[in-house]
Amino acid sequence: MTWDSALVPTSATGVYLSTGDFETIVHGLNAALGRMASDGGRQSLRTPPVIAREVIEKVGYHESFPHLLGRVFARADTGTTTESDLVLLPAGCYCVYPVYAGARLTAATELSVEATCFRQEADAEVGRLRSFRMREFVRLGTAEQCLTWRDNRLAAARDWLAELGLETVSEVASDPFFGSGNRMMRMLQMERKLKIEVLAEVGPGQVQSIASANYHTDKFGRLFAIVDPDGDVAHTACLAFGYERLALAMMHRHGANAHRWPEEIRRAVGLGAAQ
Amino acid sequence: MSFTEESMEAQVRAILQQHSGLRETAAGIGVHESLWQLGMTSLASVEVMVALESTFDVEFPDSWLRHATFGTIFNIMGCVTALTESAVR
Repeated sequence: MTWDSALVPTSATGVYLSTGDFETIVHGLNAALGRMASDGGRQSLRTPPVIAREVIEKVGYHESFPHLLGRVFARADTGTTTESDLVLLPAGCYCVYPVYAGARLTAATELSVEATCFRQEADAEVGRLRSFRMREFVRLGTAEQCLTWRDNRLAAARDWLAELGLETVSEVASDPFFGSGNRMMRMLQMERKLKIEVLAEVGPGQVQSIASANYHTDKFGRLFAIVDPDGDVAHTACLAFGYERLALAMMHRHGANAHRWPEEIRRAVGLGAAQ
Repeated sequence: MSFTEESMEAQVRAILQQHSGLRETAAGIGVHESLWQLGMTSLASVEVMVALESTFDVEFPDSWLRHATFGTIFNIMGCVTALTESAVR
């Protein structure tokens, strides 16, 4: 059987099977981002698709985004089905902060995580997957270190995406907070430019965020008692790339068959010479 | 609806006591003291905003949903006063 699309729909909206061609591109992107991640000997982690529920509750995700959170239920010894101690991981960086709980950083720290994530997205538009993968870079340090890092990383990301032939724009954005406080949370987030998205076309007329940078101020440093080298509460920032959206953007730009992509584009994602 | 400054301050402090999530008792917070520096979170500030809207029967426009608006008791009172006065007109 052959498919006319790189992502094969399933009976569940926003949940896809990916073809070998699609995965070849994802592997190329993964390798390129992996090289970027390990540059300078930085640590790189792979997450499981779940995380301790207590971590997600500690950071308040269940209050800010209860509509996106995937909860895990399991049958207990008593025979009743109850909520487990796990939830589906909504973003890679939530795995990182607990690792540093109670730590005093000896220097500004950067590492990356590759994660399989879940968000209960309501829309079914192209590229809005409920189950997806990301590579996320995380920085811990002072406020200035985090903001400088974010701006440099964003600039480098856009340069890299341009090398891949993608036209991008970056803009201040906000998260889809839940409930009546949504309006104010978004305005406060945008006022401080805490979230900056890199947008690209992933389908005809369909523009989406393919990378997203967040500056969390000292929220996670405070929650997990992480201290910077100066003895102050650590600040954190992150930059995440969505693999599926990146791959869709590449296919939209260069065609579905990666063997026919321009040589320099193939090289940029480590696909080697076309046969 | 009109409020004396004293009664408005008392009501604002009561709202902060209940919704700001601060450990300090609201009575002890100076009117110019930064609620953000005292540790009020964004999530808590939303609850404060919702309680202010409900108590004073006003609606904060988008352009006023900024950190400065909810930064001090003085700023909150100034904004609520402006909103209640514009509602009267």
